[in-house]
Amino acid sequence: MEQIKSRKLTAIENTEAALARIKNLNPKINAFIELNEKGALDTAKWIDEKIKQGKKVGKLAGLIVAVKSNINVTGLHITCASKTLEDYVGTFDAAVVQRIKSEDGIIIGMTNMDEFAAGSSGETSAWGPTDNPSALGHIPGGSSSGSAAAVAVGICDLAIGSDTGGSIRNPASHCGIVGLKPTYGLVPRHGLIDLAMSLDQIGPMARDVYGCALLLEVIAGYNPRECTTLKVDLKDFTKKVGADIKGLKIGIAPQYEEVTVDKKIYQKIERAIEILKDLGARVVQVNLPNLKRALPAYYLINYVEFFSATRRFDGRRYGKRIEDVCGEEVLRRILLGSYISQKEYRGKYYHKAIKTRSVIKHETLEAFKQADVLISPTVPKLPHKFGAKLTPFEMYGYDLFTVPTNLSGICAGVVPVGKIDGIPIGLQIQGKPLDELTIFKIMEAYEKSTRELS
Amino acid sequence: MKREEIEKRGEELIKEFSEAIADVKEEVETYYVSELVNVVRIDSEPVQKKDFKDKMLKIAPSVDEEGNIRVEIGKWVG
Repeated sequence: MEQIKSRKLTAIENTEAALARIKNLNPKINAFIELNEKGALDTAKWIDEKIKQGKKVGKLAGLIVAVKSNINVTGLHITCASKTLEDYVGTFDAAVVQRIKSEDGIIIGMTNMDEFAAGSSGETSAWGPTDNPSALGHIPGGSSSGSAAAVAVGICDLAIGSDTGGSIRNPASHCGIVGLKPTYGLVPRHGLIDLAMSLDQIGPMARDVYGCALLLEVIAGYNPRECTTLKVDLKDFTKKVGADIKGLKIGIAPQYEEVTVDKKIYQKIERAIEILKDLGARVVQVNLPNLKRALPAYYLINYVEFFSATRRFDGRRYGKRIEDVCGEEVLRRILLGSYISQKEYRGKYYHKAIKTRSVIKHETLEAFKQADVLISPTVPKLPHKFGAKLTPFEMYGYDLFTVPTNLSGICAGVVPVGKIDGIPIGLQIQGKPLDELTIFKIMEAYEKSTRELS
Repeated sequence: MKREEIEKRGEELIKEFSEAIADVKEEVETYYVSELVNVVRIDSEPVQKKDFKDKMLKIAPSVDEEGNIRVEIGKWVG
């Protein structure tokens, strides 16, 4: 960005280079399902003109931004990677997209994803799976699979994804990039096609912590068009990252190690904790006895909210009825959501799940009385190879560490902490509500120290 | 996988999930986690976007000469 502002690199040059890389690499990775070639070049030309005339440019001036295909952008196909919406062209910009454009970010295209964000592997798109550029032949994680892969392979500078139960953090971990799920209500959801509206949040993905903090700074903030955004003072994330982490209390729960399937993952996390201790952080023990209950509660809630959200896709407005054209996992969630929503089952399943949500929320907030952040693996197991057959329960298992964040409405970031057999591993840092800044500080301290070591 | 099979296996999944949370004693239900919900929007004058109708017509399944949207009644209706 500094190169663009100082005119060493023009926005047009940056855009043309990105488009050339996309054309070369996308056929192998399948990260993008639509390109905004003309729109991106026009925007870049306009930014260069502003710089040439000495006019002020925005925080994202000339940076290439990819958008997940469930977030509305005027004139592009917002398909949710489903045949249901293959003909739907966005008629407006989502609030986050308006903000990116107003800060001179260049929207390069729409990224691939699990169909309707209902997946954890990146395999269920109607446009085919996305490959993991950091571990070819393995799933990239999901559902923001294309956004993560595009950032990891360097065909965009920044990306936005959405996170309902880990959909930013899971692929960030598998692809070896930085991602953040903001506190519920910090970032507007206006223009996001719902998966489960009480859990969904849009968030940033980048190759480094600074990029992630910069994008959050742009997209966060109150939106009068929706009732769940929070009226809070925006934190100046980019200026404050880099402060030291001496004395910060890192909470570790014994349950984290117990439920980690691949023990080598936990060894990486322990090594990362040692590095953070060397940087001045203190480790405290916390207890999360209900951790295992988060996953069943999450999926019962997800089924019901998703079923409700998909009732608008009845074929009359967008041409195709969702149940007629969707994939297996989407159909499963619709059918089960319908089943649980029936009067006779509502109390037994749905109401029990939202009571469990209260338990998870209280337990997590209680842990924050002892610790500033909670540290865990992002996923309990390594990503599988394409072609492996997993049961729904095995697939849902990827979300074990990430769903408590959404159920509690708190924030969590992921930063890469190394590789196992060439596959990236991400450290998850959960923070108190609206304490994204502490997460950025820790991620940045870790990133800086390991960069110096290497 | 057939719809009936998804439903059958799905019901087993729901059973398994509900058993895992069966002993939760909590009575308070959490719908939205944000406690600072802004329940009402600020009223203001409506703004008509000039290009909005054109954009909507562009994605409509079919439009007649007078600019009216043609729709087909879904097979499952009535």
